[in-house]
Amino acid sequence: MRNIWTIMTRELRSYFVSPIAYVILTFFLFIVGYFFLALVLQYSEFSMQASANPMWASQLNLHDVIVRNFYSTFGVIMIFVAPILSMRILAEERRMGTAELLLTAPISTGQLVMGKYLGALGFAAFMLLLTFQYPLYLIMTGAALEKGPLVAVYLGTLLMVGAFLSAGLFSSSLSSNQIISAIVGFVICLFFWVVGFLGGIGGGGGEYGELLKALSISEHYEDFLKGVIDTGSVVYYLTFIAFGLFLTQRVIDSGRWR
Amino acid sequence: MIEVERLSKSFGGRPAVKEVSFRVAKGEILGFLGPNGAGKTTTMRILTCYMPASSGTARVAGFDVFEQSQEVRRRIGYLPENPPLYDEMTIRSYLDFVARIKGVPGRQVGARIDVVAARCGLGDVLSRVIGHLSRGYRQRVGLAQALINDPPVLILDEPTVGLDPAQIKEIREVIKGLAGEHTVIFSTHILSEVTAACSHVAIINYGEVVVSGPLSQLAAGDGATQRIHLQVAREGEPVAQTLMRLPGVHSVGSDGARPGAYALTVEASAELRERIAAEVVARGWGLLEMTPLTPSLEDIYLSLTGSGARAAA
Repeated sequence: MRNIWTIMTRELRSYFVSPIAYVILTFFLFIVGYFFLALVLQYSEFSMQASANPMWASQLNLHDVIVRNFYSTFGVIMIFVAPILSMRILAEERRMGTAELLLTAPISTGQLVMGKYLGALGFAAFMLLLTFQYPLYLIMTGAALEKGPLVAVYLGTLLMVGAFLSAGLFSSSLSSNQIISAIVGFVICLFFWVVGFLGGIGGGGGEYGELLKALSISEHYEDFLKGVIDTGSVVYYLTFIAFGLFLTQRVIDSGRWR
Repeated sequence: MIEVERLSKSFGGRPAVKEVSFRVAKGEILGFLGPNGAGKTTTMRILTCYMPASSGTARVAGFDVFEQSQEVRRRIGYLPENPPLYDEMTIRSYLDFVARIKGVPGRQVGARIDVVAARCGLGDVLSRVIGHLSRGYRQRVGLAQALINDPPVLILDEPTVGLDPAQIKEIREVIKGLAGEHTVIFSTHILSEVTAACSHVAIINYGEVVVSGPLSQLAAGDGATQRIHLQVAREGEPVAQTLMRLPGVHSVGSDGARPGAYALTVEASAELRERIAAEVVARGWGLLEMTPLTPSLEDIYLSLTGSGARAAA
């Protein structure tokens, strides 16, 4: 436990001294802020129209129009951001030779992978925390924003980002070149984001369509965005993460044999 | 303390280390000598559990590097060829990190950092960022990192490469200071390093240990014959013919271009040397100098590792 904590805190600290993290944070906040503004304006336009139509007004709610769309976009942004966050984690260690320190220290490969992963997840959680300001603005205006679904959204988003980072960590273990790691990570994340799309074509693709949907990161994310915590989806994400970490550990250990 | 037996490692069919065996007793400093690419780093990486051997065994402090890897790792301080440093950290936070992953108890971390910093001459630069350090200081931080948990065994891969003569001397002094309480293996392709710092030497070439043993024993040669340098004052005397008649003298030749200088190969005995001296004096040739020659490590090294061109000494 102590080893994991040591690796994790070093990893987390290294994010905050690297320029990449600040570049990412700046552009990230700019984009999500811009998007939030667009959603709020859209909602106010809807409200104007709804004031003339009581039927519609009863269906209009803040969560669906703003929070759900906002975090759906967050997910799409993360397809790009997560591989950039994770690309250096192991690739850089190999390139700088510090892998030799970590792999000869009295810690297990599993502890190393876990510590690295939690460090990256910690930074992603920090990014997620920064976006909490937007729902907070809504709450501060006295708007009727339900708290329950919000909890589901945050849990789901954290799990989804966790899955992305797990894939990113795995791709970082494959190469000592950060660019290659980022590209491989991006492809894996994008693939699992869109893999369910085929299942929805032509009114459903039967068993295989369902299978593809079940594999999709975005399909499971939808549940959380609606405000539902589905045990199946939680298990899906945790399995995805565990599998990614397991593969990473295998890659590192197999590297010793070459 | 370190026992290596018939250790082999090949990379994709290409052997890097072939049936290497050697032993290092507690408190010894072993100089691991060989040309670049001879297999020094590979052997060290196996000993530090960075990679497993293809065959053979290695034990450190009685623990097998493969079967009891964690136990071995706890007892080894390792300085790889390129010091494994995080450029964005300060020296203090870096040493703190290394101390913790090497299992130094939290309360002792600060004290250990101060001890190794003093030992490696880093006391007044602890708060500097590693990325801004010169090569010499990076090497010192690397050494401090290896010493941080006070391991009984130290494995240093070319610790002096790329340093200026003053820095080399400093690092060498640190290494010499480790003898006794620590067992040290350090690799180098520089001969004078070994003579200056080591008690034992293992010479490796093309992945094989060609010779290993205490430095003093190696220098004595095979023990049966020895070479003697003789300098007489008078020229043109029948020195060679006369001395060849003495039993035990194998050859007499002129030594270099100087007149009156001879090189003798004789049986190694003090009695014989005494007779030679008496003979030279009795004949009135004017004995100026008579020196038994011990082969230098350089001679051994060059003769064992082949051509002088390969051995970048």
